[in-house]
Amino acid sequence: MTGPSNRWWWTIVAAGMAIVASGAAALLVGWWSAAGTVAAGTSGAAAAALVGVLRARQPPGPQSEERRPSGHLGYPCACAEPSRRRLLCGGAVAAALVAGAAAAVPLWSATKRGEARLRATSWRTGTRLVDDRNAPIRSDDLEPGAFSTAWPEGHGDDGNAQVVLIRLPPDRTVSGPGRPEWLAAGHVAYSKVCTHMGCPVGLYQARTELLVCPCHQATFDVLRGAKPIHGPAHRALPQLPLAIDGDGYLIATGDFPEPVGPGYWSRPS
Amino acid sequence: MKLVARTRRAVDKAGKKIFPDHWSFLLGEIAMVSLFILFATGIVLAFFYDASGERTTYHGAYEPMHGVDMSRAYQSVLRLSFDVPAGLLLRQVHHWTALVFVGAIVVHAVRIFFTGAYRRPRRLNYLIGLTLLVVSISNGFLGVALPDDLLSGTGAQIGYAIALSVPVLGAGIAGVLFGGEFPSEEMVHRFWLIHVFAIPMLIVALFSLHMLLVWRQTHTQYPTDGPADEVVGSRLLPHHAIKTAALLLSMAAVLVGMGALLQINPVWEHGPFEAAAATVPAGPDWYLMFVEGGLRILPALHLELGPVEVPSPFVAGIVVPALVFGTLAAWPFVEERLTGDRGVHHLLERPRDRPGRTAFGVAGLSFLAVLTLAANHDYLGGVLGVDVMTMTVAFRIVLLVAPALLGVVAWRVARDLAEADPAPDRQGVGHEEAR
Amino acid sequence: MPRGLRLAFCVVVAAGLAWFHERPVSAQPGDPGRHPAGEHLYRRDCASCHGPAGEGTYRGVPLTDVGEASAHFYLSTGRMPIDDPYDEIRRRDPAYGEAEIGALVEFVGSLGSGPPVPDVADDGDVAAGGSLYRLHCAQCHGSTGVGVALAAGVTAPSVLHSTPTQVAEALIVGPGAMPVFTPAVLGDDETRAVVAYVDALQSGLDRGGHAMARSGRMDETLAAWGVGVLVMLVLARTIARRR
Repeated sequence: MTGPSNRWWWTIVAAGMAIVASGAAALLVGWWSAAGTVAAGTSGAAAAALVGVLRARQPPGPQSEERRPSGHLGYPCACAEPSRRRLLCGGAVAAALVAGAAAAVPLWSATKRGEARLRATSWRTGTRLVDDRNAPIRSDDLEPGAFSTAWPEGHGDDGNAQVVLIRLPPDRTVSGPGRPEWLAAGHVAYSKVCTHMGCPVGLYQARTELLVCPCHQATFDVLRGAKPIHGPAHRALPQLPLAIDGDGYLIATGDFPEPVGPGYWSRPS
Repeated sequence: MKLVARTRRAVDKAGKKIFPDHWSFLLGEIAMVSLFILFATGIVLAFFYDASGERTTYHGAYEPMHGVDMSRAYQSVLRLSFDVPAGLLLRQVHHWTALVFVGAIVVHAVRIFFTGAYRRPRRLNYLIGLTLLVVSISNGFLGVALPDDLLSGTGAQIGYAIALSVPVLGAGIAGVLFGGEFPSEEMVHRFWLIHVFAIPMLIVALFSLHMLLVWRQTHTQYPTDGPADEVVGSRLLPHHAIKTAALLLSMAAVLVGMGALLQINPVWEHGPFEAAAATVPAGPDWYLMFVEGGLRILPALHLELGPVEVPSPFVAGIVVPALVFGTLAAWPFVEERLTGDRGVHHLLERPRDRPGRTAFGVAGLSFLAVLTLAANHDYLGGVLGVDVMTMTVAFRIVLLVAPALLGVVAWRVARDLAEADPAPDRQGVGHEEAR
Repeated sequence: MPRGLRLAFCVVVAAGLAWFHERPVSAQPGDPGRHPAGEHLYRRDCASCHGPAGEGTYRGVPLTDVGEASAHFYLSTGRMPIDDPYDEIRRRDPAYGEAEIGALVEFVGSLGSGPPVPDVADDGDVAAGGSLYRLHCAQCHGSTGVGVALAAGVTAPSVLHSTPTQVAEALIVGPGAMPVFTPAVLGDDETRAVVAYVDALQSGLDRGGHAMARSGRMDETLAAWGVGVLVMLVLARTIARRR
């Protein structure tokens, strides 16, 4: 082999050993930051040495290599004649289609279609609203202007059922397309699952009475049925019908009137 | 002995392969070296990761999380970060390297595009490279979701809604990928298998093919470096191999240094994923910000066709990326039609000599850059003291104006430069055309 | 006004200000007497908008029932006073010293009913506070506490400069567009936990190097390109031929 002597390889081997050594040191010492700096320093030094050697021993001058004739430039299944190429390409496409179709069957069995659950949540007539500690919420727990997140009692794990519960100031109510008759003691509840992409719409701006989604800033008007007034959402947040039971706790009087969360092809409207 | 001799002959022969000397031919190698570092760090990380959505309670070394309910995946990432020696360093190096990896692919692709390196006979290899970019971006998305923290969980939620928005097949695709309705306990396990097994295999296969084609088709070169019928440069052994080794070592130094000195993705601050919680500013890693930006600033384009609907995330989540990568894939073929040039080209072109292509590339890049910036419009608004509504409107205007404006500017600059300084080696080009 | 008179006027005003600054304002809690210092400051700097008895005018909200907590929050974070009612209400350096704030707070508290300045013990449960912070606060202020822009002219400020008292006050008062967190949502223990977590966030939950601007993905993007990719390009140019 022409070219420089064996010293090259020693540099590389030494640098490699240095990296392995500092990696081992990192594992032993556990002071990760120092170890990282040591590793970075060692490999950097080795690289610098290599570049230095490279610079010191410039290649003897540009070398060259002939290219193949431009007609067949070495596709692995090189075939100059168009007819054979077409046959091969066609065959490849057909094989890929068959393989894809074969893979589709097991893949389909791996799906767990969630549509049924997107259509309905765990809210039933009379379900109490509970907070993040599973405590039922009384109609005088929230001051006007306060808000909280609520779940159906016994279904704190149903992410699709979560609602933003807002107690409006006394002089405010909800107008269309919201339903004022679904308010209870000034409380209004909207699905917390954004109708754009499903993020929790937990960003409540009091006084301006807006709900903003933290993901894409879809903005909903609390006083007009959580209608989207700005940003990428298209549908209003579904409103949960509320009432107060005999013991003074907030309850739902049914499920949301429409599916919660982001849209999809066969979403019933 | 015969085998040894034969191997030796093969190595000798391969070692004589010529690689161009210009630095822009190392851009792809930056991506290659990043890939090696990703494999090395990823394999170690895999020993400590627990791909399970099962719930557990934390009692590890990080006290501000004691007694908090979380998935075992998130717990294992906390353990990796706080209990495993150098675990956090490895995680940070892996994450920084992933960001640089996709960045290097993009820079490499930009060089290929603006110099016309994708023309015959390298159209197939260009398409393979583009596929590698898409596959790498997908793997980045999956990898970011693995810690199952609040920020990445929000990202996974958005991936779910995008999958769901696909007409007809949406629920099926989302079901396969996420193992049921989001949030699903099976999600991290499926993501994990795809991230460490399926996609790396695909990357290795595509990358090998990419290299094989470069090997057989030889490198392109600048017309100032040599004629069309031979490649001028240095031999693989030893000179080019030493360059690669130097690149590997110095890149390892920089990336380990970044991992040691710059905090990335502090999952212990974001907290475990919970459906009711969210954090701001939320967004994906940079290479998916153009999708996130579209989801934020594009108007709610929504289609209802009787009983079925196409929800608005479909446009920014599927149509925009499909248009971006579709246009890139179609470009060599479109350009052939437009210019009528179906010849084989081994010599690169200067961007100024092809003002149309340059203008198109600049317009496309600025379109993507505006969308990428728009993905941070809530944070930028906070810095500027401007609300998101104003930011959205401003970004919509910039998205329409900037690409057109910068495209025209690029066209004029390219034309003026070319007039002031005609192509340096017309002889070489003429030589190539004569063949 | 002749020049000499103007000068004299200025000297008198300056002397008066200096007197107020140097005079130790006694704002002992529980002092049932009048609040001359607080009342004086109020008349001078607040009454033109909030009314002489805190009844409010078209330029400023009534202060009769906001309480000491609210007054202390707005004054100690420099959000009040503002020169013009249309000025942006944002965090600034406080316009008054501690003693003057104490006097003003006491005076505003005496105008009507309202929550007192909360006494925040520093024994909150940080881990529980973290969970509560992420559920109730992180959606606007961010898990790293940096804050972002919201809708309709509203910006959620960073919590990284707030004192424990200010955090507790904000939860009670609901300043600006921030909702109120009533005891049913965040009780005493929980408020102390959230305060403790914000304190921990400020004093450093960062591990693994410099946290940059704590904006998450945006910083990471800038570093990945500005440090990572850029250095790689420099390396490539160093290692290979440049032209």
